[in-house]
Amino acid sequence: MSRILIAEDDAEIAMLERDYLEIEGFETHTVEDGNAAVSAALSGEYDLILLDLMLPGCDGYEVCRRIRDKVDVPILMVTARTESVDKIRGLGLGADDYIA
Amino acid sequence: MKRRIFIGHTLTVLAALVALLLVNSFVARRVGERYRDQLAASMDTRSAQAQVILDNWQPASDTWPQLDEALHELEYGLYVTLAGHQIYTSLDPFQMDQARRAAAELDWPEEMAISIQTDGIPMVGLKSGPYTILALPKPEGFEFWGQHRPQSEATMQALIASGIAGIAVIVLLSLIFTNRQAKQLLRPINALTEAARRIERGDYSQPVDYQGQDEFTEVCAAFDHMQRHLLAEREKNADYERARTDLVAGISHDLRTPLTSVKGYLKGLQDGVANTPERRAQYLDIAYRKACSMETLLQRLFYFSKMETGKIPLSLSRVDLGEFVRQFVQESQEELSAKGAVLSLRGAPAPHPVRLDAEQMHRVLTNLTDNALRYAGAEPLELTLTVWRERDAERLRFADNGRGVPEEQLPHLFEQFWRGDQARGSRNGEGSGLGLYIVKHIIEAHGGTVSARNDHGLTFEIALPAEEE
Repeated sequence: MSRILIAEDDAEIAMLERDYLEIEGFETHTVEDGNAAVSAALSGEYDLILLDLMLPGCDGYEVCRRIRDKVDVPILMVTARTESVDKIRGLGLGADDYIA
Repeated sequence: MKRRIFIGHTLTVLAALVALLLVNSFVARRVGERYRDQLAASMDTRSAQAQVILDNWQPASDTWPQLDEALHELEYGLYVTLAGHQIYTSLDPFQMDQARRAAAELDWPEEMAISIQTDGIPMVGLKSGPYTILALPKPEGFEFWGQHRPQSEATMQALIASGIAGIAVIVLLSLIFTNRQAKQLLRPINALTEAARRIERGDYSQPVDYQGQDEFTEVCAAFDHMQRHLLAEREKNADYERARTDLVAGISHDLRTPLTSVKGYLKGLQDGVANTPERRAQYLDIAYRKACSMETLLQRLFYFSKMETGKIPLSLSRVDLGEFVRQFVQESQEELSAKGAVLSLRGAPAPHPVRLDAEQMHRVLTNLTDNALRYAGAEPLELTLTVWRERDAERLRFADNGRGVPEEQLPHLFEQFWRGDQARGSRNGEGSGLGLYIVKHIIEAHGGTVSARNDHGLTFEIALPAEEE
């Protein structure tokens, strides 16, 4: 079964993401801040990371930078921001796709 | 500058006068020399003629007038003594002394006239028997206008010439001095013009380039002061603009976050992700709460724009501040304890009459509470409200037990759009940067004051004018 890491500090958004993914049969784990997201990602237990841009501790870009070289896991950036500069920056740091 | 102008003008006048004097004395000397030469020449011939007349004259007591007449044609006057006593004269009174002395003291030759000068006055004379006969040229000047007209004309011409030369010199000198003075005057003005142009180009960095010590020093200093003020003002405007831009970006983000939830949960219901009745109820509840928080935010924005564009009318009524705060505490207690906050009221019993707009004052308390919930960062959050009377003001203290605000940020707390650094970065709220600005606005509209300080957390103190019985 595929395991998905949800890095999202807004509890309600995280719950919604979890519900959607679990109903599709994925196993999910939720973390609420950037540092927890980095250590969870580095454990290598996940097949996909849903990464929010604005996280307390360290933000999504920083998380991306810190895990990109170490583990080969697809990263999907999720955010309320729509500015294309954020998108380009996220993708430049090694995110695989971007959902606004 | 005043002194310089004074000195400059005085120098101009002095120099002009000196020049005039020099020119005049030069002209006068030239004219005088020429006249004297002419006079000397004519004097020589005339005294020779007088000598001839006197030599040929046969002295007799009744012929003096004829001799006098003959001499008169040469413009000579006659003086005759007989044995030392004057018997005839046609001299001017002031020449008499001279003639008397000359007749008495000088040794005039017998029967042969000589021409001599005593004390610069030429005279012709001789002794003839008992008579001493002297002839003196009539003095110049007394008949200046009559007989010596050519000479006076020459003098006039000389005066006119020297006058013209003097005027020319004065004009020249005044041109030179005025030019210098104008340059000195223009230096600071040019410097100021240059500085004004620079400011027009948007360069506020340089002070006015003027080192002089005079009245303009002050003007330039004032200009520099204005420039610094403009620069500060411009930076303040830029800050304000930045804050406004931030606000717009912030609001669109702050609205988008709950909107995303609303949309997401409604879509979840539509997609059947909520597959139990409990879950469906939960989804609906979340969507509803998020929509409410959006409404709150929009209300605050609307209130702010109303506040910006015009006055919000207050409907004041007589209220007991203690009672008002007690009611607020009671109403909010439940909602706040759900958010992990404790609200308590201290010291309210005595009457605390004030005039206030209940709706607006409620907004003040709500905004302060929201502010504490967002930014205090205390777990559990304890809010303590104290009401008391101090002189002629009713005071309300609103204290939290949070981390407070860095001292240097306290003065900015009530500025519109302002959010502290940790508030800006924080995710835990839809802060608009307007809440405390609105608080200050409302309190001041009530004729009161509000201040903030750090005291084991952040403490606000509101003072409202007390309403007398």
